[in-house]
This record gives sequence, structure tokens and C-alpha cells, in this order.
Amino acid sequence: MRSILRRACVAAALGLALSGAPAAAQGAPSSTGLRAYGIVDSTALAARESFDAVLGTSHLTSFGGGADVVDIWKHLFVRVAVTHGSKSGSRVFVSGGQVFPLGIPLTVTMTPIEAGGGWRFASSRASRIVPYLGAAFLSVGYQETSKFAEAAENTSQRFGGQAVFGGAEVGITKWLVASGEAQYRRVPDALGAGGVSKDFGESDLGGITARITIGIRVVR
Amino acid sequence: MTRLIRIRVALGILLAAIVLMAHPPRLAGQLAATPMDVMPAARAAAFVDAAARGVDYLPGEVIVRFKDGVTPVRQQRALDALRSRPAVAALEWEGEVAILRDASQPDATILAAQLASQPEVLYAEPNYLRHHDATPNDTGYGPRQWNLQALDMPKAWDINPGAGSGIIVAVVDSGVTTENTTRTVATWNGSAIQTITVAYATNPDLAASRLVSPFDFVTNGGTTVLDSDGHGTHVSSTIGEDTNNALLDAGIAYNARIMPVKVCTSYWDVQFAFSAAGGRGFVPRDAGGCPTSAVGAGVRYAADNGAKIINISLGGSNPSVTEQEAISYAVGKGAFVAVAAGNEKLEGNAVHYPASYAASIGGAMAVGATNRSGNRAFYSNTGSYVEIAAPGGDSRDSDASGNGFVWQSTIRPSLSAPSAVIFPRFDSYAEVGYSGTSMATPHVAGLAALLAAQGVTAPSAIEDLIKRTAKFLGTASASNASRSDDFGFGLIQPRPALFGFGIRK
Repeated sequence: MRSILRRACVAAALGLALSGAPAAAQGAPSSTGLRAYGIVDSTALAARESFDAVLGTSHLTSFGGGADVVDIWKHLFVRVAVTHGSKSGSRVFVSGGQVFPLGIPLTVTMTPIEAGGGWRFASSRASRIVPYLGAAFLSVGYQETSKFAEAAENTSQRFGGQAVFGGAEVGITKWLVASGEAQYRRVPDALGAGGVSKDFGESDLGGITARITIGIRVVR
Repeated sequence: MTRLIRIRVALGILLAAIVLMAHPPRLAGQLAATPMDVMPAARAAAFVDAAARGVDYLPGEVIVRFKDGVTPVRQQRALDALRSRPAVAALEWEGEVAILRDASQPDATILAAQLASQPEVLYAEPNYLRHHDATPNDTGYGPRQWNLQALDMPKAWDINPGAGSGIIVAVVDSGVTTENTTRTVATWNGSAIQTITVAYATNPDLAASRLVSPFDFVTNGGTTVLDSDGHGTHVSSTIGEDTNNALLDAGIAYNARIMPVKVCTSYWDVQFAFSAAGGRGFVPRDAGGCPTSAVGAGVRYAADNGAKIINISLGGSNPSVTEQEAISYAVGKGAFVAVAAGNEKLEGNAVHYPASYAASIGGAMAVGATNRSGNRAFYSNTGSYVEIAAPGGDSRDSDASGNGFVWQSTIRPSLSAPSAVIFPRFDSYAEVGYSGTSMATPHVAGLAALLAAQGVTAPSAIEDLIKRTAKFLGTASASNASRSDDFGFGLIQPRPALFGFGIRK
């Protein structure tokens, strides 16, 4: 938990630095606001059987940060976010649906970058709870490294995809905000050409992500 | 006078030298030697008779399996169909099958046909003699294991260094000698039957501590196995000869344990039994073989006693339900079985048994042979039943020093081969080059042992993994683009098989 908070604080500090000036220095309320936040994601991966076989789970927890520029035009907002998650397992062989772990360590690392936007359903600027919906383009960095692997046997590649998301922002204090969000991600054709994903016929590196953010209103 | 004494002394020394030359190592150990357990005289006579008749079964011997629930009374009724009307009590049972010996009808195919037509009988077949699928070559030393280099074994051993002691590989063959001992035997010295002492020793490059649950189905001698041929020892050396000990050669699964299951009767086994029974003369050079009854019993024994891998480097051109059922039984008990595909490509390329059964049994594989150049060895059988290929050596793809055969430690032929000596000894080992699908098969068995040690425990999964990671060779067959009739699914690739699969690669 301390690690999560530390990552959130780092992300928030980054947001502050990007904003160019502390919020308190802003003279008058701006029509456009900025949120900088830390992220905790839990993703149920679409390639469930493949990740289950190798990692023993198809859920990946990731940490990261992002920023939303809100009310660019009416309640339109744009977003940039990046997260990073990693999990270790074992190389396997799948035969007749049975998984045989081979005891060779394998680590999967995913680093999705998302850029998108959406609409905030705020009844007024003073609303404490603001629902929102949006969509984003994804660029998912995917690494798979194994002990004993030769260079060509590891994977380090980026794959494009899309996400749609929806959630609600809650104002905790004047400057502190949190949100809960769900995402549906689609990263087609990233898998399925080899490995156990071929056995299971799974090609999508996306999934369903539950996200919690905590951040600050850099510009209100 | 002095001169006469000198002459007498010289003659005495000369006489002693002649005696020593005639009985070299045996004099010292003669008093301590144990009499050799030999097979019954009638059995030895059957092997001699088979060789004399040129048939590939034991004359007058049939394996019969009665249908479930058939009572002894009804079994007797079936036996009464034979002219000799043998008694049920005379049957020799080996598990679910019985062996019938009928001296009145040496043609076992007639006996089998008569019995098979009886309603009480599930099947009956001659007790076929299987033969090793290998051709011995002269001894030699040097870095000649091109076969292991072709398979990139060092990288495979990085992942799994030679399997482990928890993996037992059964070698159903001519045996692997399990103790240092001597035996007194009767043999023919060219003019008379002579009792000699024969020395046996364990392979210095296969620690005796790695031998487990040996059994001799040739003499029913129990748990002491003595290899008087060398084939079984050579095969076991490919599977798991001690490695990284600066001695002789390397083996693939060099930490696995080896189960010597002797089912093959060597020339010497027949000669010793023949002479012990008073038979005069040398038995035919090709006397001996591996009765399918013994092969079946040996395979079942191996599976029942913990073998995870079974190597069968032998075969013949006649089908045997006994062997088929034994292999199915072993796979059902969790053992992977590797079987030689046969060396008769140039002699008609007849379907080879029991190899051809492997194609329809998930967890058993028929193994063809490649040569040093990576091509099919000239002798290696082809057909739809060939499932995989491995280095087997090839005399036609070998240099002047024999580099092209598969070299492993085994009994030194110059001291044991019937073509070389009349008083053999089996206590001296050397690096010897053989070729054949017999030699290819233990490469697959060794790889299977590594895979089992790595966690792939189901026989069908081992087969699946070996096939999926094989390097495709040859021309795809019409029925399956992933395999060819020459190489099956291709040349085994130990390192990729052990490396397995990740999510994306």
C-alpha cells in the first residue's frame, strides 16, 4: 500500500511540474482544469487461458500516472496516462488442454500508454461527483523474457489498440480528487502466432481493467 | 645334465605358456567362479533350431491369450484342437498370456492358426524372434559424437543437466551388466566341450549405482543381468552414459537411472546353454534373438517397476499382439515408449513391428535414423508409421576412422564377438561405433527422460512436445503436411523441447 501511495505521489508531483505553476498561484478560476493523478490498475486479461497457464493468473496489477485536461470545450476532456505491470511465471507445454510447467522462469511486463478523451457529466463546476465516459488509443509495450532464452526468443514489442472507459471522479477536498473507472481494452493480433496463445487461440492483449486514481486538481 | 635340466625347464615354461594362452584369464578365477545360469536346454535347442531352419520364431512355440472368463476346462477344449492335445497344466503363464510349447509341430504359424480359430481364444501367434536394429563396427576412440553435437546437447543440458535420479529409463534389450563377476560355463572350443570361466564387469562409464531393478527374462535369472552381446549396453550408454567425467563418451540423460531388462538371447547365451546340454559344435552365428513373449513381459515389468521411459531397440517384420498390448499397457501406466523403426529399407522396407504400433499409441514413438549429414540413413525404414528421427549413424556417411557411426561405450567386440573369439570375456569396455535405428531410438528415449525430469510427465504429452519441436525434414506426406514418411515429424530438437513455450513465443 505504501508503495502505491508513493507511486501516486510521484505521479502527482509530476503533474504539478508539468502544470508550470502551483494551483495557488493561479489568479482567477480558469475555464479549463487539469487533473494529475496516480493510477492503480487491475486488469483481467482477455487472453485468460494463456496467462493462466504461464503466470498462474490472468490478472495483472499495474501502477502509473496520468493527467486529464478537463473542460476544454464545455465538458470535454483529454487524457494521457501510462501504467506499468509485471508478473513472473514459468514456461510451459500445453498438451490436450493439460498444462505442464517446465520450471524455466519467465517474466511478462506490460506498459500501456493511453491517449484519448471523453465527456464529463458535471451538473455544475461545484459538483462533488462527476461521472465521465471516454475512449483512448493504446500503445501497449509488451515484454516477455525467459531464463535460458536467446535474444530472438524473448519479446519486446509495442502493439496498438483501443480502449473505452467510464467512471466517476470524486472531489475529496478542494484540491484532492479520486476516481474509480472501468476500461475495456482491445489490442488485437498481439498474440496467437506462437507460444501457448497459439494453442489456446487467443490473440488479444487487452482485457477489462478496474482503475483507481488519486490525484490533485492542479488547475481547478 | 645341466643342459637337460635347462631344456626341461624351458619346455615346462613353454607348456605353461601354451596353457595360459589357451585359458588366459580364467585360471585365476576358476575356483571362485559361480556356475552360469543358463536357459533350459530345450529353449537353447529352440534357438538353435530357429537359426538352422532360418525362421524368425521359436519352432513349436505359440503365445496364446484366451478370452476373458474362459475356464480351464474350456481352455483344454481349445487345446484339444491341436493334434498333440497338450494339457492346460503344461502352459507357461506370463501374465494374461500363456506360452504353449508343442514339439510335435515345429511350424508355429500352423499351431497359431489352429488355436486362433478356436472360439475360446482371443488371439494366438508364434513367439517371434526380434532382432537388434543395429550393425556393430570396430572399436575406436576420439571425439566422435557428432550425433550429440547435431542435437546441440550442451544447450539442452544448460536447461536440464542430464535428467535426475528420479527418472528411470528401462532398456528392454540384451541387458546391461549389473555386477563384476565370473561364471563357469560350458562351451565348444573347436574340438570338444570345455568348461571355462567367463568374466563380466559393469560399464566403467555407467556407475552401477545408477542401475535399478534389473531383470533377466532370458534365463529367468532374476535380478542379476549379464550382457553378453553389447547391444543393450551401447543403447543404455546413449541414453545415459556418465558424462563430464573425462572418460569415454557422453550420454543424453546422464543422471537418470537405467533399468536393465534382458529379453534378448545373445549368441553366447545360446552357445553356453547348448554346450551345457551336451551339444557339440558351434551354434549358428545368427543364433539368438528376442522372443516376443520376453519383449512383452519385459515391457510390462518395466512399467510395473517404475520406469517412466522404455527403450525398445529391436523389432521384426511380423506383427505381435503380445507386444502391442504390452506397449499399450506400459503407456497406460505412465511410461513413454521409444521403438526402433527398423533397418530394412533396402531389403524390402517391410512394415516393422512393434514400431508400427507406436503410431496409433499416444505416448509411444517409432524412431527412424539420420546420418551425420542430416539425411535419412540408407537403411532406415520409411512409411506412415515413422513418427520421428534421430541420429543413428551410417556406414555410407562415415569417414575412414568411422566417424559417422554412433560411438558409445560398450563391451569390447574384439574380446567378445563370436566372429573374433571362441572364449569370450565381457569385462572389458571400449568406445564402439554402431549404426541403426537401434541407435536412433535411445536418443529419443534420452530426450524423453530429460522432458520427464523437466515436468512433462504424461507419455502422450512427451510425444506431442517432441513432435511439435522437431525440425521438419524431407517431403511432406500426402496425408499430413507436418510429416514425411522418411523422417516422421522430423529430427528431434532437445533444446527447443526443453525450453517449451511462453505466452507469445
